[in-house]
Amino acid sequence: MGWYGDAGRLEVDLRDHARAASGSYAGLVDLAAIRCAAPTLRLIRVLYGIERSTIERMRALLVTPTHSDAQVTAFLCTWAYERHWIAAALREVLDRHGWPVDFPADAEPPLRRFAGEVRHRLLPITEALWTNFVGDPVVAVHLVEGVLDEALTRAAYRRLTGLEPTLSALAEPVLATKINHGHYLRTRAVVDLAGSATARRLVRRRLRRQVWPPPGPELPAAEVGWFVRTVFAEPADRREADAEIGALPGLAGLRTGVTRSRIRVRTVQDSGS
Amino acid sequence: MAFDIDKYAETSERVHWEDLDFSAFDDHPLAAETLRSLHYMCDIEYHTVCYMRDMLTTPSHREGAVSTFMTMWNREEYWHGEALAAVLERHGITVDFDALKARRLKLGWRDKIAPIKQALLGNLVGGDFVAVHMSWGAVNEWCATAAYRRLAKLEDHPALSPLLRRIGQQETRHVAFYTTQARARLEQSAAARKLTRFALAKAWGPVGSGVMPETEVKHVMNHIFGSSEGMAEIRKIDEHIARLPGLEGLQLVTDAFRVRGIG
Repeated sequence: MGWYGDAGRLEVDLRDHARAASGSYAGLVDLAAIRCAAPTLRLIRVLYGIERSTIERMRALLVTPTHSDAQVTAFLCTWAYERHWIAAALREVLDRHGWPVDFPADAEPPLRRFAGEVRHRLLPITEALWTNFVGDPVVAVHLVEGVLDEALTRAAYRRLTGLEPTLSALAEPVLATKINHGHYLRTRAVVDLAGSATARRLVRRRLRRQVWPPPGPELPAAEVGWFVRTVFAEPADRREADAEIGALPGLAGLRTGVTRSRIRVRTVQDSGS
Repeated sequence: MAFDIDKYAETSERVHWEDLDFSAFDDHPLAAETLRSLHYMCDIEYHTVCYMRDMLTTPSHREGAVSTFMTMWNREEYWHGEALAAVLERHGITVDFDALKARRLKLGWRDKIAPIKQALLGNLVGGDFVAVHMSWGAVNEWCATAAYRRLAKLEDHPALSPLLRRIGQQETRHVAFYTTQARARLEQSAAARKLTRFALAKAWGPVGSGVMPETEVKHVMNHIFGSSEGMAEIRKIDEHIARLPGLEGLQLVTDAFRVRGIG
């Protein structure tokens, strides 16, 4: 497809991408032929939770100055649509194996669940407050977070395919879609970062406070931790993400690491693993 | 009848216009008044993502059916904007992302704090707040459907009218979702009925008011509905609204038009 390689053509490519957006995988992939062992299904359930958190991500993004950037919101429109169908395909894989898509109610200790619920309810307020004081440079933060998220989820799909080769029938078209997402986010991030020292400083600061995957009310911390430790057991599993982040203007020397079972971004001299 | 969200998602598609002969606009260009109304409608369609922002601050976004609907709805409305932008482009009027950004920025601090207010209200009121959003959405989509159909009929243009009817047809599915949701939530809760009636009666305005200048709101509503036939459509919308639990007797749209001197 080859979109988003040229910053001067972003808006043309956005329209072409939107026109060709990937919908349901039901007719394209023989999901019934995918057979997975229990540990792989356990990983898929977390990945499903990450993919279906799309609306949660939109919720956090749209209360910030990012909602004013019509080019980014046009991208998010197609991005959310395509991620919806990726999540739907993962759900069908789980359904076909008789695995419940939701985690048991007791998968999260009550106090942690309550704290998560409070954080979730306050998120639109806290995000709106600080980001509207900062203004446009916040868009760069969201773009770079998106670059990292897409690179890490792509690594997760590749890892899963290594564990269960029959998944490749689904993983290949999903990866193609996610590569497009990554291309837009990266190309646009380069424009924003190159154009603003404030954005570069803000992104460096904010990235070091982020964790991946972002916490969400539907993802128990223990399961996510197991997912991260399993999928990203080796530094090589994060190589692509490191290369993408490190290549962005102003972000040289940043690397991912696994700390307390989450992926965090650090500068090279204090990177943990 | 229950709304089948899975079927809606599977059959959701962007509006198409490639088969329509847009050279008809060269032979029969649209009048300035019509282009002004189309520009308004185009801006509002593209603004859907901002309406979505407000919906997302309520608890409803965690319900599978609602989050699926919002994903498809956002995309369909975006393509309505693209379709109308293509018509405007044919008349030398460009609606690009920079123009849309400028429109959003012009809304100022009121727009920036709107989601904070919505989130606070949602947290205070709880689940009943969702009934307000769904009812509000139903009213807006009824109005949008009527507007597209009216304008298609008024113009009777070989390219524009079929396009507007196609957009209107997609809007009818949005109406179905919102009214199903609204009805169910209003039926379940007396507090939701009271809150929704109060919110709509006090704060609802024609689609686009609050985003577009009042001069444009009045122009578009007069252009499309400012006739006896147009007002008959408005009264039909009010009849639909009044059939929702707790909203009996409301003449929401008629009243909103009356205070603006329309109809």
